[in-house]
Amino acid sequence: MTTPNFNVLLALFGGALLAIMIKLNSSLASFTTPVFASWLAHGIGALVALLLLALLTKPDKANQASNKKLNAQHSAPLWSYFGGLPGALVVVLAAITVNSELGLSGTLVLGLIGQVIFGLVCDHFNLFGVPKQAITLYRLVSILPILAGSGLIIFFRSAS
Amino acid sequence: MISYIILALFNGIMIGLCRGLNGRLSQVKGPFNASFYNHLIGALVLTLIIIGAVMFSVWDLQSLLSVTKQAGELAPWPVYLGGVIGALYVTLNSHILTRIGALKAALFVISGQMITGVIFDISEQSLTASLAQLTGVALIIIGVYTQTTSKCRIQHVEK
Repeated sequence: MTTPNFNVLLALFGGALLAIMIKLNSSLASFTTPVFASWLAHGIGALVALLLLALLTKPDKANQASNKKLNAQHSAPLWSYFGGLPGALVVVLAAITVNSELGLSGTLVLGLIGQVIFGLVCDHFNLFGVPKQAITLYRLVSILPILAGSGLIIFFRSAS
Repeated sequence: MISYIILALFNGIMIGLCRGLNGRLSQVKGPFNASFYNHLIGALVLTLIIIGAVMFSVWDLQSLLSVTKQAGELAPWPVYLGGVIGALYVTLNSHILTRIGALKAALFVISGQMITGVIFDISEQSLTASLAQLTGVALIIIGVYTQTTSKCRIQHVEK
């Protein structure tokens, strides 16, 4: 079930979910403010995740299995609980840059570049438990089609 | 201008950091727990930001918390589903991150997001814009194909 290609499909589907989520959240934000819309989305998200957790996971069994794969990393470090902190900052920062000269498309494209740079660095130094993959020329070049395609889509969306 | 560029790049790094932390937590606690803590901490941080901004009179509480437009039009219920989808999205993302690596996770999520975005507004575009966007989609498909078939492909390592 966790073959590499299945995970690629999951990631692409995750991107589709993200697009739908952003559309809904920005629609909610048009009725209120980006920060309060995000507050509502996070609150509802926490409740839904709690519900999923209760309904779909058997306590400990699944976790014990994956724990065995992590020799030295048996418990989650405290900092790993704070993913919501940068997540919440994103909303506030985006609200600032969207209203600057960068506009929506500049904010989006620079955000994508930031994500890609961060991904390269994480893989290179195998941070956060990702498999180690050194930065090579091939890796850098292989990013270009997706970034160029995304850039085209973003800039021509706002131009029309 | 340059400071906004740095801020926007930094924002992308924050998106990556958010995924990295959730992915790390997910390794031990599972993706559903990662999603729960992500949303819980996010809600708490935003609560603090809101309290701070209201205390220092940056925002006015009443207008901040209203969910109506000027004309009194109430937000329709489906717009609240963003949080539901968000819970699923963070779960998925936390699951895949440590399996395919941070770069591919970012690239494939971006790809799915862009293509879905194009599908959303394909009908309301000019011909030039549609052609440019379809070229973009083609480039993304080529990029995803190269990434999945290249020698960089990660085998799932059992340690």
